[in-house]
Amino acid sequence: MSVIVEFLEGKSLLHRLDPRSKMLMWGAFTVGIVLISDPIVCLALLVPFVVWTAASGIPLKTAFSVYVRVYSLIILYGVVSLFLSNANLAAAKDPANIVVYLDPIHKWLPVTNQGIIWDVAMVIRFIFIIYVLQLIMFTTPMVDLVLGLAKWRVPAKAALAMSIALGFVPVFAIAISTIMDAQKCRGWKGFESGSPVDKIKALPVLFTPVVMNAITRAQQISVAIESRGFGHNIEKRTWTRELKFSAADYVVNAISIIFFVATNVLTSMGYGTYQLTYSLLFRS
Amino acid sequence: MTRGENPGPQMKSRCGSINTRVVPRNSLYISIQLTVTREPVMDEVLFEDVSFTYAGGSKPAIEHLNLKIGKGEIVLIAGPNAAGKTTLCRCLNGLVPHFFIGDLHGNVVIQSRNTRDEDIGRLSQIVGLVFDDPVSQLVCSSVSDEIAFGPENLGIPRQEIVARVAESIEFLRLKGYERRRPQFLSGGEQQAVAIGAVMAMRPSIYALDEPTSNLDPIGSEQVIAVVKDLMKKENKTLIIVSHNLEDLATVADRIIVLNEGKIILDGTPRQVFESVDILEKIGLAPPQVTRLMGRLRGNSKIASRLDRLPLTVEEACEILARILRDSRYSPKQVGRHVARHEINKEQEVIVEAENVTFFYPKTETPALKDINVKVYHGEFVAIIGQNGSGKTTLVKHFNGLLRPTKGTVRVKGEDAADIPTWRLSERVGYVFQNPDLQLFNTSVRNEIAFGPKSLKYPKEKIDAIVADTASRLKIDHLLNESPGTLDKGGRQRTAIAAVLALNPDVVVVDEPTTGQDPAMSRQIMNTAKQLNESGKTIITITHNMELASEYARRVIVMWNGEILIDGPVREVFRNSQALRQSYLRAPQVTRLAQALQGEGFSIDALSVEEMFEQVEQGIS
Repeated sequence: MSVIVEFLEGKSLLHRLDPRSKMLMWGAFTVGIVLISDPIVCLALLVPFVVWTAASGIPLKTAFSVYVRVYSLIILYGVVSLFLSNANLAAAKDPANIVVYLDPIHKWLPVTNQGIIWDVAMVIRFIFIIYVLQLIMFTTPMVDLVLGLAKWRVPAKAALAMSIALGFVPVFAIAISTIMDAQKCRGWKGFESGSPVDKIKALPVLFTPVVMNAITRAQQISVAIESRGFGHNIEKRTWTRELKFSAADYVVNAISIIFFVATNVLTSMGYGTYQLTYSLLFRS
Repeated sequence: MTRGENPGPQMKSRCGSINTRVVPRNSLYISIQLTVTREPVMDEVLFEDVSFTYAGGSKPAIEHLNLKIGKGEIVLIAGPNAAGKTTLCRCLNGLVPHFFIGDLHGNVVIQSRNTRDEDIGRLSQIVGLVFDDPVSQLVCSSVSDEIAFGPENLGIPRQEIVARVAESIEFLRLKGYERRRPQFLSGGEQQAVAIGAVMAMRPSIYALDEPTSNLDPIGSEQVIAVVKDLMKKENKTLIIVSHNLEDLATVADRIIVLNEGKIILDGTPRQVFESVDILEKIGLAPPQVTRLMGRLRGNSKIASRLDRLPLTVEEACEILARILRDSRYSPKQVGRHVARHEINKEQEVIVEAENVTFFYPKTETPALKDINVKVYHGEFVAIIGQNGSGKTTLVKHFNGLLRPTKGTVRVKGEDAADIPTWRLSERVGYVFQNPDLQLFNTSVRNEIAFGPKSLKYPKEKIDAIVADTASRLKIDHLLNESPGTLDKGGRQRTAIAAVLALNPDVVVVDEPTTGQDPAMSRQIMNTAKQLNESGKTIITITHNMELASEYARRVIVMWNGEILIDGPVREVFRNSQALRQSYLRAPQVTRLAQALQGEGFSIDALSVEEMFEQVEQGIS
């Protein structure tokens, strides 16, 4: 039961890139894609990353498995953003655009063709941002990310604490499943059966042991790291791993920056909006 | 093992070896060493009338402790739970009083520095602490990062760190593991990494707090081997807290026994083990052969021929063979242990695995390979084997926590495939190693009533169950207490009661000995024995061969997902070849009896008690 994306060993270009380049790339592409609201463009941008995933030796099944776990969240996001979007509301003013009403009797909550296109772009954007982030997590050890952050003047103690905490997520997950097993052994019915009320009632059974376990574990960890000099003279801390930009890093950083600038300029000129797909589909 | 035979003189030579130490590499380290060697006689560790009470604690964890440990000494610290062993370790590097606050009296002086005036970071360069739980002390994503973590915190130059990491890796014989995730190593390897990580900080004192208590037998051996290497190569002061007296008796120069916060014994292993009765009384487990000979000393015919108590099987065999020859030993059948010769197959089959194969999700190798086993009503079964051999995996099939990938599990003749765990919990109860994973109610009463309530038993029945179970486990006076306020033994008994409340036919006791002190392990096994006598079938998983052989009637040895041997306890522990194959060893007395057979005496023993009776009756 792994909750967090695990680092996968490898020697690919993506693995070798400086963590700072990867974080910059994620930042640039996240901002960029948020500006774009055209599903075709969004999808087109996702394609090179999918190819890159495969080229880096990461099974696509693994890369996409996260969406299986959060699919309900994605659907919820898609539905909510559809009805709240300006694109949908604006298009609804012209009845010709309306495809269907969610409430056909009262003609409430119209769904428009432009709204759907815009919403599809939204969902792809959401998927894209998670995708690039986990691609980085797959190919970068946590220490390197922390080191990258430290180089960017994020306090070393905070950065290290974060990495240690993330590293322990799988350990906590195991503890929780052991606690669930232990409770089932004394007649606890778990979350498998019963009404939603029953499920909520079942929570305290886990809550106390899980919290107690987490507190004990947290104390053990802090004792262990204090005993190894953690936090002692933190400004003078050595970082064994060296970060150095290679030629590839310069290329990737250049692409990230160009992409960032280009999307800003082009979208402000009106390109990359859902209108493109709309005109392709409906006005040809 | 030359050290064990003659601890006394060795200790002197160790103390005298300060001058012969190798030239250290790094400048920081030299400066520390210089301050040490300038002093003519120097205590590495000095406790001056130290008492400490944790904030919120009602009584001191350690009391008026006076202690001197010299350079190069190897000290084993033993004592029951709550004797103050861990607190003593925490004093060494300033965790007490800087991290664990409380009321500290007296002075702890480490290499002439008072820990009160230093911080943990600085002291960690002198004292390296290793803890019992490998998982909570490894925090990095690769073995080499883990080893580098300490030196990095100290601000050691990068090249020096790289050299130290390489040295630690080589020392631990973990070449090729540099990039592996510590979390994915075996327990023994993890603990080795923890020692290597501390070693890279170049402390001159190592303090290992129960380094083997959470490990399987292979892991323990691995860690003890690392400790022995550490002694040879580094020639540093070593302080080891452990319950494993059997393996460490021959390693240490000196043993200090703590009880209730005070030092009650301090001397060479031989001196300390002379007081074997005191050690047993406070709940420790001295080597079985020492206990045996200690008891035999009560017999006047033997006492006159016994000049010292043995610490190892070899030594005991030599001494006992001589005594038996001199006193013309003739074997007498001791009747009351015969029951453990055979499995009673007349009884009802209560759980059964038929051709069970099991794969954990996303794994390629089966955790269980085509297992066939039948457990009969009223049996007391011990399942032994290394971690990862499939013991827990098998047992979790008996109450539906796991479902076979292939094959069938039957509980009381019924296919368990479609019965949920909460329903099976009325037939197979499962007691987990750590009671704190289960307890959540505000009172012991509610804790016991939880299962029956959850299965909607009528109210009168629940009240009757609570009263009955509580009295059976002798916690009836605690019914209104909150489980959180009980001591560990009380919490353990409450957790067992919570499982028994559903009146299962089979009670599984998973690892009752791991991470426990010997007295507590024995307490749980005694409870299991009582349950067994009242008609319950007991299945226990354990790493403790002594308890397995003493309590179980049937033993199953697992290795690599398969059952290697399955038979009456006497037969299994006679099969030393199969045991060796799974890296297990019969308990000391059993091995002693076997060795004596080689000397021409027909003795067979599974416990100190049994061996004692056989020898004593054969002599008189």
